Amino acid sequence: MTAISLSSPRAVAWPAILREAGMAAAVAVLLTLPLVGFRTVDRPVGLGIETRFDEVIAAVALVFFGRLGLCLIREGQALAVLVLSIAAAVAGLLIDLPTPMLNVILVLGGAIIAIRAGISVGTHRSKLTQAERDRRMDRFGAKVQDASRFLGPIGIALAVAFPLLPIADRQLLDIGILLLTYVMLGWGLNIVVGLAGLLDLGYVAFYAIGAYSYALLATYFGLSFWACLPLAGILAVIGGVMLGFPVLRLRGDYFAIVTLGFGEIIRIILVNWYQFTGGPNGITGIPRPSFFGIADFTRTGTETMPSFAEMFGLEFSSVHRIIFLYYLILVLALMVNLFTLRIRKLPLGRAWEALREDDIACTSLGINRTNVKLAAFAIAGMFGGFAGSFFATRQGFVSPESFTFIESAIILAIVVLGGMGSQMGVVLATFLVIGLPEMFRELADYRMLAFGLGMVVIMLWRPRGLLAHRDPTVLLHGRKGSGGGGAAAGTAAAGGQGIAGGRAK
Amino acid sequence: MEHAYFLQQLINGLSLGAIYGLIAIGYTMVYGIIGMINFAHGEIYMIGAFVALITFLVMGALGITWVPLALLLMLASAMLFTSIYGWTVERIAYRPLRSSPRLAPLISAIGVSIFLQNYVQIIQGARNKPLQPIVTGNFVMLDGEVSVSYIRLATIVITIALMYGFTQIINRTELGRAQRACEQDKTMAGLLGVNVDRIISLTFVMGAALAAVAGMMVLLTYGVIDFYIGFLAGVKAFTAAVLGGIGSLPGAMLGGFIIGLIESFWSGYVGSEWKDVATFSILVLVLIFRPTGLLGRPEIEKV
Amino acid sequence: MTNGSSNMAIHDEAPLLTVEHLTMRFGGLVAVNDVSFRAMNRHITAIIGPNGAGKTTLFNCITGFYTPTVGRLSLRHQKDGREFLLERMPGYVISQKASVARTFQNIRLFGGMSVLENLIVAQHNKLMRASGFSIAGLLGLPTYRKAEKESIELAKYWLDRVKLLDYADWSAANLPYGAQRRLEIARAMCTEPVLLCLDEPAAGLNPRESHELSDLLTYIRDEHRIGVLLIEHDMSVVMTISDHVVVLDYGKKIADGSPTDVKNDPAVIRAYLGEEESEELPPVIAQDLPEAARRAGEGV
Repeated sequence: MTAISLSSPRAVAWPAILREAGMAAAVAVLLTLPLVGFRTVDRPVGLGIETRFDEVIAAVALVFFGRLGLCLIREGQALAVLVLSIAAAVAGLLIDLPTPMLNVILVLGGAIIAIRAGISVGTHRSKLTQAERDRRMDRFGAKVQDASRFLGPIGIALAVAFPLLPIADRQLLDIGILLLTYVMLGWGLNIVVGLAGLLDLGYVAFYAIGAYSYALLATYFGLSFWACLPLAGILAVIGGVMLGFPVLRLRGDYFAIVTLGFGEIIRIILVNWYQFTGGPNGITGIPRPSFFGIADFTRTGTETMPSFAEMFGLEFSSVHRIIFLYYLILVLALMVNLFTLRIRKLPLGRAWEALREDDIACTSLGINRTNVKLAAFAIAGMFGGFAGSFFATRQGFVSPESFTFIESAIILAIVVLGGMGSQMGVVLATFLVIGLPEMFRELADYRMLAFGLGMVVIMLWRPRGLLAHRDPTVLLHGRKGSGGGGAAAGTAAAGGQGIAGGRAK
Repeated sequence: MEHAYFLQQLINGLSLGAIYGLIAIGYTMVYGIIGMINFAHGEIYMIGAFVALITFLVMGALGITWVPLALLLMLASAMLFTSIYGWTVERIAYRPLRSSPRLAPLISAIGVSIFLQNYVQIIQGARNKPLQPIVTGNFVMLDGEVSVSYIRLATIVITIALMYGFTQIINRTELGRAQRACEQDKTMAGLLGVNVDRIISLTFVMGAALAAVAGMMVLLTYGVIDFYIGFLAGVKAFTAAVLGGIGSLPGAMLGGFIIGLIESFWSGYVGSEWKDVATFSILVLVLIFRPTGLLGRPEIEKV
Repeated sequence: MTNGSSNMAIHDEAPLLTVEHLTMRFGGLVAVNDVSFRAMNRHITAIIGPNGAGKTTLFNCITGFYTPTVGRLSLRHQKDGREFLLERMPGYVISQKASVARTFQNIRLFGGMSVLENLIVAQHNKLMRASGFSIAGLLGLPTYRKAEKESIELAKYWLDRVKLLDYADWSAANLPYGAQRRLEIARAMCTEPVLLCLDEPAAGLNPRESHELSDLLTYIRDEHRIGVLLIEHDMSVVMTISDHVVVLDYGKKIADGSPTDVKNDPAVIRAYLGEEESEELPPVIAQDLPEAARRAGEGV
């Protein structure tokens, strides 16, 4: 867009801007009046109604000034808007408003406008086009990709060292395990969504199959974790192939909905088939893992195994089992990561990425699309199954509540927000999506709200994901040799022809 | 004896199907014009139900108790406000992404869906919202074996009337012509002077208005709503749209009735826990074996 | 100028591709109507005709993207005499087993991948076998590494041929238009086909690029000894390099023969220029047309 120098306030077209902001405010009134302005309250006689017009006014004011700010940025007043919006955000942090939601809105709204204004000031443009934004973010993603050569190993080293640090208490370790579980699931789903470009809305089904398989095998057959893990993976793969085979030739949107349907079917079966799955209560009493079958993590050990603490001459602590679980999930997650990094350089991985780029061209090259997609589905399913097994043994019980559509959506969001195909992106997104809410437990109610909003905002800002950038998996001329404008293949995911073709409408 | 039970399930199924059909029209029209599944449409329906409820409560507080007026105001209010929600969602979350990679609008739609669900949950509370029956009374047939409530009957009648009205609009008016042109070829329609953006917005608005009617009907028929009804109804209505043939208005209605009947009969004769599995299974089977649905046109992919 | 007729006489062997009574119907619309012709090996066969004549539909039938309503498409490998009935084979099998490669009217490259990667993906089946469906590759076994090196060599060979060697690590989407077209051909050749089908390869190319394309195609025909099937509108390319031309109009074949025969065929001229030509053609156009056309135009 055109470069606009910061102009004086008098030059601003106030009437037009005020009208625009006014229209936005009017829409805001109509939106918030019925639902925010009037609240249903439970009264003994039934439902009653309460008014909260103050919140309506606050919301409308926010919209009005927000829109005004955006217009002013467009008119070249970015600096002023930057200052004011930062002030607003700070006010939201410090001043106590009637409802916490208003504080949140003030802070977030102020922050977003401040960022917008900041970009404007920094680039001397009133608005970046989508292409420019893509280019800048791509450069950022490329830098991260380059940095990941050493950021990756550093991260792994940190992750390995973490439990040994003094601050690593039980709570932090639990959060660490939670994050690593989602990272593993994200990396697993990345194979289907990021590499092969298939939108899977039911990934949680594999997670569930893995968890319940482990639970059933362990409680009914008394198999150890190490025996159950591969079995659960195999069952998940079988499930994946059975579910995937009939539907893999469907177009992108339809395929997505079908996978959603499958996820829901699995959940409903888990809830209702109580003779087998324990119904809504699930299965409890799942045995905890042992130290590779040679030592147990209880204080005194079992009949067959000595206690871990005894065996290694340590003072017993319940944290030992947690640390073991932490390393277990770390290894599992890294296994998925390693697989992904390697498979991209192999024919199967390349075929997945080619499929994502243009599946019709793939057919013309003799690639059996169905088999290739099935492989992605099956392998990702296997990893999901492993993660499910881990989850079952960590929690000690499984119930259908853990396997709702929202979980699939969260994992998908992690993959998409981080940048499809980007391993580092998944880690970053997991920290944002899972880690932040854990830190701010008081705002738990607003977690999902922010989550949904975040998905929309990131899509508007950077449809390909935050760190999406793709380096070629093989170079003819070596790293330095890639010449000028075209070097380092552009952005990943949903390129050219889009996911599984589709009508250009 | 069995006849009565059968008839009862039939009526229930048709009225349920009418509701699904109204929601399905929204899905099918949006898919027809921009080729995208509006994941958040179920939430729009839920908002319609809530607005209807709140309007009723407000009127009660204001002392308006004459039932026909109350119903009319509820309808108008629900349709108005829900349409604005539909319009806003399109403007903010979908329009900027029209030229983005295909995944982006879908993710955005999922985000909107989650946002709206939680928005209503936080503001209105997570509990069920019960409502005492407003429209009571029913026909009694077959010596008291079968009771057809007025509200169910009204739902079916209103739906058919709306359906008819809509088809007239689409086929006879200038607006409908412009809409059909945009479905065929947006670029060309734009070049011929059609304001494509406005037509798309209007499509969303119309879909939202119909969903609002569905929401109000559900409120009146079942007497209880909560913030989560959008998800399940949304998927089922989408199934109905696909079953009938995505892009086809009569298909959406037909699909809706079929899904409603299947759900009703399954509940009535097999058991209600598995009825959702039945619906999802239909979705999967239709998409595998006949993706164009019953009344849809087969698509040839241009290579 | 290649001599089409002499080529036809020398190669008195079984045809590479035999199209018999091919008909493609979409509902009520007949896109291809009872078309039959033969394409010989080591020949460049051009399919021409006005827009909407059904050329791409014909292509799509041959390459497995449509299933013909009626008709037989038999492909005969010259080396071992194996025959394939293409109308029965699913799309990817036609490339995989029958070794038919194609390019597309609207270039379909893997834009997010590099030029080199595009060519390596083309060798997918070969590499999958060598890597034990990627499992041997995962384990790092040497059989795969050798196969990968060979595939890079083949890719390099073709990159050199199409003059894209310096751009090997570029993102395919960032290449200029002409380079993208050449890349698509190189990619098709990396599947080691016996029949190369090109859908309007010269579209959008300037005269110099068209000339280079002609050289490339004749090189492919002569050095790699395969058959080339070509849809084209650019008559300079068609007339220069084709050994055999088939003309379609409204789904029907209206001419079939050497380039010179087809050029002078009145039916062809009518198809391109239309029936009614009551005025005299302007000299600029008239001087390009042979006597027969002028007479046809004057309604004599």
